[in-house]
This record gives sequence, structure tokens and C-alpha cells, in this order.
Amino acid sequence: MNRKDKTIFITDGNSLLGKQIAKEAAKEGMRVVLNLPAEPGLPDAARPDEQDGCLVTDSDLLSRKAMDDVFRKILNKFGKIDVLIHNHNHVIRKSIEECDEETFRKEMEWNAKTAFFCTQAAGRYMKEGGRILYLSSIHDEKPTGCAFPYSLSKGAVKMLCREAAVVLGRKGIRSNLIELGSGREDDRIFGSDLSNLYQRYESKIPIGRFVSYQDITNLVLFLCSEESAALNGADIRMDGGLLLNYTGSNKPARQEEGR
Amino acid sequence: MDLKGKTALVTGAGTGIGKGISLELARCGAKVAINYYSSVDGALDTKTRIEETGGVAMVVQTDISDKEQVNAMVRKVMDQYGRIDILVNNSAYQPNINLLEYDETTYDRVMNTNIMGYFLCTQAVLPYMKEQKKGRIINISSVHSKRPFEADPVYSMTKGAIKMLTRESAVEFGRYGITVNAVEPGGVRVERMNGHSRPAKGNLHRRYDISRVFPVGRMGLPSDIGYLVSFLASDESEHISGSCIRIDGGSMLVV
Repeated sequence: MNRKDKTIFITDGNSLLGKQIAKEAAKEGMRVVLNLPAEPGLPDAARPDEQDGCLVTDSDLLSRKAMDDVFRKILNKFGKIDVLIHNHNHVIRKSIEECDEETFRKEMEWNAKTAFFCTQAAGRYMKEGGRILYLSSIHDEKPTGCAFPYSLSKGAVKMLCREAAVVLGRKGIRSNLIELGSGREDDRIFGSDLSNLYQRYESKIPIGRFVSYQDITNLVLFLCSEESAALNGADIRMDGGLLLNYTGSNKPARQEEGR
Repeated sequence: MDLKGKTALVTGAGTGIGKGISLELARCGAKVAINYYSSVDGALDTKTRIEETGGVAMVVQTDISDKEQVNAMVRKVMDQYGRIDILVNNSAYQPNINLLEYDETTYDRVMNTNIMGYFLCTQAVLPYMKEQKKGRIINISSVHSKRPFEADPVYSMTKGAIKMLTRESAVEFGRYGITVNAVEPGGVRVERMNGHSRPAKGNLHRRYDISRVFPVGRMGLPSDIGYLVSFLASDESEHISGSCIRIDGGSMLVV
């Protein structure tokens, strides 16, 4: 799977997942553009060094103009942009009953509007063979019981991916979405008195372990390759099978019956 | 369906599907508060048609994306009818703009009407339904919560979000005796909408051969949506919550 010399733009280079993807992409010979968006409440990340084949930007993902500027900058430096990774994920724990208007608006903007502006920029500047990947969440289908603006924004991104698959698919650009779940900290992030999903959830994952950043990176790199060319508009759930299992254990159901 | 003694608030009830829902809820015996934003003639027509058949209705003008106006609307309905049993979130804005041509102002307007408005109306009726220990919230969505709609990508995004609002609301409000469901219409024959929307240019709408697009042989009517909403508003639907029910004459199976 040859990905050498492809240019990859990662919207949230501050995140651990963004850094992992960047590291592995660079190993494959890809040219990495790492965006470090300013996000309130998060500590400033150490700014990576710009070395050969790497470009660091700090574009405001909520500005259409900034997105146009950064895509033009990438084109000037590398001549093309092949892959857009939208991995901007922001979770605010709020119930419907207690959420204020501004918090709701902000959450929708951070997760859905940023994806929309990135998609528009990709549609304007990417050429045939381009890839858009939305790193989203199982909570675009499964309610959280504790962070409703998050799941609404992810429901919106899911439809954005499908729209992009149709419209940009005609330009030869593929759009796909990964529904991430069952990471190590998910119970802390999404645990809720109203949902049993994250109670003893590690034991419920059929593969018997959490999904790792390396697992996700492996799938991302496959979706960047020519071999994935027929995938377009797909939602790929990557949760180790968590959502399929409600027996409370990763042991066979028969053993459960004896309890 | 017997909805006697119940009160319903229907947003966007001056035209189209909202009008059809209001007429059917009233036919089943509910008092209906008809919300509108700009279709005053349509809202008054809905009220007149309900009253002509012996029903009870009121109209209330509101921008549902404005929290203060939404709260004032709900207080007005409570003042007049003393309770709210049924909320039908139905208002939607669909400008039909291509993905790459969408500007930020229009994006915000679609999001504010189609999502923020649903959220604010839900939040506003919640204290009253909680006190009543019973309620029905029905979100009118679209087949485009799952199937892309090239003519207006942001409209689809909002419908994807409504699916999750429905599910989250069902989880959060079940303990209060409130059920929350979504209705997802396909093609529905409605009157033209006062120039608010440009004609859609999606594949489905480009070549409309009714018999090939709808296995049941016809487009939907606002009354079809009204029948389903009335069932979901009734006591008989108590065990249905968090469901998104497609109502499209089977069209999504063949196009």
C-alpha cells in the first residue's frame, strides 16, 4: 500500500490520536500538515518542529477564510493535498434539561461546523483521488445519556460524510467515517447513571481489549491508500464489537446463564 | 385515536406537514396551539378549519430559535389551556443550496431553526410535562436523516442531529413518563411554501415517476403524517420511545 509523497492534513494535531497518525504517516513517507487549533480550556501543546515534509499550522477551523488560506498554503508548499483527517472532537457533559443555549451552540460548532468548513475547503482544493476521513464516534447512533450536544453534532457529521460522498464522489474524492468507541477513558468521559453502556465495559468488548490509537491509525492509513478506492460514504464502526454485546461480559452467553 | 382532554403544541403549523398534523390532532379531540413564524395566513386558516369542525385552537407567532420567544410561547399556551401534553417539533428551513456554495449565514440559519429550535422547544415544555408526569414529544425529521439529499447537505445534517436528539431525549425523559419519537417522512405533497425554499435539485426530485418511486403508488400527504403523529401522541403508544419511524410509502427501498 503505497502512500509515499501523499499530503495529509490533520485538523487536530494537539490530540494524542492526531499525533499518532502524524507519526505513522511520516514513517510511510507522507507529507504531514499538523494543525494546532486553539481550544479554550486545553493546555497549549508543545509545538512540533517543522522539519522537511512537515508543516505546522494553527488555523481556526471555524473560519472559512482561514480554511481557504491553509489549503492554499499547503498547495503552495507541497503542490497538492491528498488526505483530510477531521479528528476534532469536543465533549461537553450536559443534559438536555440543564444545557444552556450558548453551550449547545458551541458544541455543535466545534464538532459539526468545523467538519463542514473542512469539507467545503477539501471540495474546492482536492483533486481526483483525494480522501476525506471523519474520525467520529459510536455516539452518532448510540445516545450517551450525559452529553447530548456531542451526539447531536456527531449525528450531523455522519450525514455530512454521506452528502460529501455523493457530491464530491463525482470529483473522485472519497469520504468515509470511522465511528470510534471503547477507548480506555470512555467511561470517565461518557459514563452516565442513565445508561449501562460503560459499566464494566472493558469486559463487554468481544475482542477482550480496548481499541488503541494504533488500531485506529492502521485503519486510517488503509483508507488513505489506493486499495480503499471503492469505499465511499461508509461508516466503519471501530469499537471491538462493544455495541453488539449487551450480555455484560465477553464470555459466551451460556456461561452467563449459570450465574 | 382518542386525544380528548389533551393539548398539543405544533411548531410550523401554518403550512404543509405541520398543518396536516394539527388538523388530525384536532380531529382526534386535542386542543391545538398552532405555532408559525411567517405564515400568518396559513396559521389562521389552520385555526379556522379546526374550529369549523368543532375543535379548539389558538395561534402563536414565534421565532423558535429565540429562547425568550419560545418560553413566552409555552407560557401563553399554558395560560390559555393549562397543560401541554404533546409537543410536535416540526418547523424546518430548507434553502436548497449545494455543498460547495453554502455560506455561513445560511448554514447558521438552518442549524438554528432545525436543531436549536427543536432543542429549545423541548427544554421549554419539559418542566410542565415533568409536573404532569406524562408527555409526548414527536420530532418531525426526514428520510434524509439517513439518506443524503444532495440538494441541501445542511438540511440532512440537521436531520441526522434530530435522530440523536430523539434518542438522547428518550433516555433522559423516560423516567418522567415522557416518550420521545421521530417521524421521518419521505416525499409529501404540500402546497408551495411562500418562496422560502428553492426547488430541490436532488436526484430523487429530478425525475419523479410516482409509480416507480413510491411502491404504494402515490406520494405522501400531510394527513398520512398526521395519522402517525396522532398514534404516537396517544396513550396506546406508551411503550414506543426513542424510535425514528420512516413514513415514505416504501420509497427509500427502491430509489
